[in-house]
Amino acid sequence: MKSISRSRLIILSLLFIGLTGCDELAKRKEIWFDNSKNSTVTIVKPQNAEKEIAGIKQRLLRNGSGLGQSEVGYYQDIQQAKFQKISSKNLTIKREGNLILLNLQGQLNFEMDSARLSQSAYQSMVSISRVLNEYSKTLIVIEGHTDNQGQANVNQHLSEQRGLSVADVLVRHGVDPKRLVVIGRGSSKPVTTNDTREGQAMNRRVELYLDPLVKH
Amino acid sequence: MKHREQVIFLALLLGLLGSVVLFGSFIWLLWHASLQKEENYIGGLASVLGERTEKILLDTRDMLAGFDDLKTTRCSKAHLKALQDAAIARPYIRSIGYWRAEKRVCGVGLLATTRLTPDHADRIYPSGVIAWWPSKQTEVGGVQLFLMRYGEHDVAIDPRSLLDLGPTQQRQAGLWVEGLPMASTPWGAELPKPDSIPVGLTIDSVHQKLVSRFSHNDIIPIDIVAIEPITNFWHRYARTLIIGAGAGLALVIAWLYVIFKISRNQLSVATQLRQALARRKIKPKYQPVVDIVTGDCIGAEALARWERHDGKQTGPNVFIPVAEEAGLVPQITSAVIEAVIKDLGNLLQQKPGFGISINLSPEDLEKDDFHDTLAASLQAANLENQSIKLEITERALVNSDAARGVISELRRSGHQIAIDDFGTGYSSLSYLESFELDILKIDKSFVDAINTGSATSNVIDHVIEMAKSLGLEIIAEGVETQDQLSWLHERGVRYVQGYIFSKPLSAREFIAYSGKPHQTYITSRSTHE
Repeated sequence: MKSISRSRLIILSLLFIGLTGCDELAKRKEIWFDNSKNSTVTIVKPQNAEKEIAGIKQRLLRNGSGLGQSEVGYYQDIQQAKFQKISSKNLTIKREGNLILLNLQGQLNFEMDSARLSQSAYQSMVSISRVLNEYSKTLIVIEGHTDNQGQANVNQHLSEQRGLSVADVLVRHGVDPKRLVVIGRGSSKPVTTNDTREGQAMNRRVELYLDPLVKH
Repeated sequence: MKHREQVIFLALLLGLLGSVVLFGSFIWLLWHASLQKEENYIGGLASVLGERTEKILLDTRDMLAGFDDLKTTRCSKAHLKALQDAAIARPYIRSIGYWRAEKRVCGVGLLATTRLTPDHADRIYPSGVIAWWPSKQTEVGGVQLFLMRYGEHDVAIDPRSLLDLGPTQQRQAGLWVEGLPMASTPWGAELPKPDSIPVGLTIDSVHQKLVSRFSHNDIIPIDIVAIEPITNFWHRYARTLIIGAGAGLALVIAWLYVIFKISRNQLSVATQLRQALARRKIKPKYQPVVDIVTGDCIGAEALARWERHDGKQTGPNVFIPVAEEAGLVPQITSAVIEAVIKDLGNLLQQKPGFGISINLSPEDLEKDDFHDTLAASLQAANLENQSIKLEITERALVNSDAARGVISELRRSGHQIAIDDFGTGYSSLSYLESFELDILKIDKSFVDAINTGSATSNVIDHVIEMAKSLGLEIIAEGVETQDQLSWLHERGVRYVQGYIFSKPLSAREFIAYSGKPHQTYITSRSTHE
């Protein structure tokens, strides 16, 4: 029952996108699925995420400038402060060592089965992109999440789509796509219970990690 | 002897106790006053420092926010001039920098060659202000700086200027902002964390230190901690304390002097009384008793007087309390009896019916041999018992059953018994009835009240009526005016003593007085009318 209604919805939403703007969809597809070129967003499978991310960081460091060991803390501190300076109330900024975790409370949450950003989330991502352009020495890891409803492979795909929606906005506002990595986490990392509707809604989300590029 | 020892002991105890308490409380007071002064001083200093620090930090923040709003091209002459002017205006600022992310692009001040990028910010405020407290990582040229950044500009503050105490008088002091150490004097001084010590001034007796902590908690929490060795404190307040101790000592000496005087006085009265008894300086004066019908002197009341060295006479109201305390009353009574017999022996022999009354105290009646001694003395002088009347007080009657036995024995042997001060004690008529008495003496206080309309003036009527109904002779004491005299006469009172006839007389004067015929005042007055 559930899977049937879900697949129907996907069809409906694709139809909807198709109806609203072919250009939009075309652009997205280009970004989302054109993984062959260097300049596009990398999608990483969760099972080998760590290794791949390390590789991407190495590559970025080879091609551009990184941070000295003694600068990393300072760099992330001032970047965090910058986020706080520009941030709206909804942006929560957390630190895990030298990682900065950005979480748009509620705003980066999605309708059931949808990867569409809300208007306010879009605006927030625009202002975040400005700071990301100024502080360019990080890898931006975008993690998409779903609730636990539906099949795992569908959720996996959906979570990637959600991450890509965010990546899309950033790239359009000047963030170098090479710095972006999208991971679909499916329903594997809920932030709260999936037993209630509210809990499910909170679990349908995207999180951003800013991982500094440090020279060895 | 007992009394004397008590007095000495008490004086010693009081003297010692008083000295200790006085001196102790004085020193305590001074010590606390000094501590209070110290606390106020440091507290005042701390509040000045706290307020100034807070002002500086808030001003710095506003200054940085202002730079971001500057419309000038970054690192242009105009931009750098704005930074320079701001830095010059604030003596605690060592440098202002303009940054792009982690790159210092340009700036003014002393950090021309050093780019400070500490590893870890101590505070990242929600507003986006970042602060690095002084640490190894902010150290330049041996001075640890305080850094603050907001947006693209940062500022380096020399924290020493925040704790500029002027002459600190060997105090160590520390300044904490938001619980983190900001500055200390002398530089690098080891100070306890503010959280670990109570607010205000405390004495650390283990380390012999005065520790104080004051908090300024307006917008930014600021703590000032100051430490100094207790010896410093002593030195600073030594003069006050020494002066205080001197004053305390003076107070103690004054106190001891007072105690000494009082105890000596106590001692001297009792001792002198004893000496007076030995030297027969306790002598009676005689207050004549006059029959107002016949005008004859019928006797006298013997009143004990103490002749002092300087010739002054002291009345019983002064020395009887001392005598009572020292147990000398019976000796005084026997001295009086002895003197009466010696003074008036001849007179009494010549005038049968003449009577001298002697005041007895409860102590006299308690003495087993009183009656025998009295009898022996009278017999030796060849005098009738009737010639000595005995005056007792109500209190003596009430207090002791044994006394009553002695009284009735004395009465049976021929002494007339008079009750003195009747009406001033507890006696009631029925009570009085139960005793064998001869004479009732009306107290002077009742006589004084005659015709005054006071409540007492009514009582005397009843007293007289009562005495009559009991068949007692009445003697009114302390009669001074004609009015009183005629009033008493009208009520049938026949015997009177008081200044209207005579003051108390010496033996010689009394002998002369008793021999003279006296006009009967009442009669003469009556004839006038």
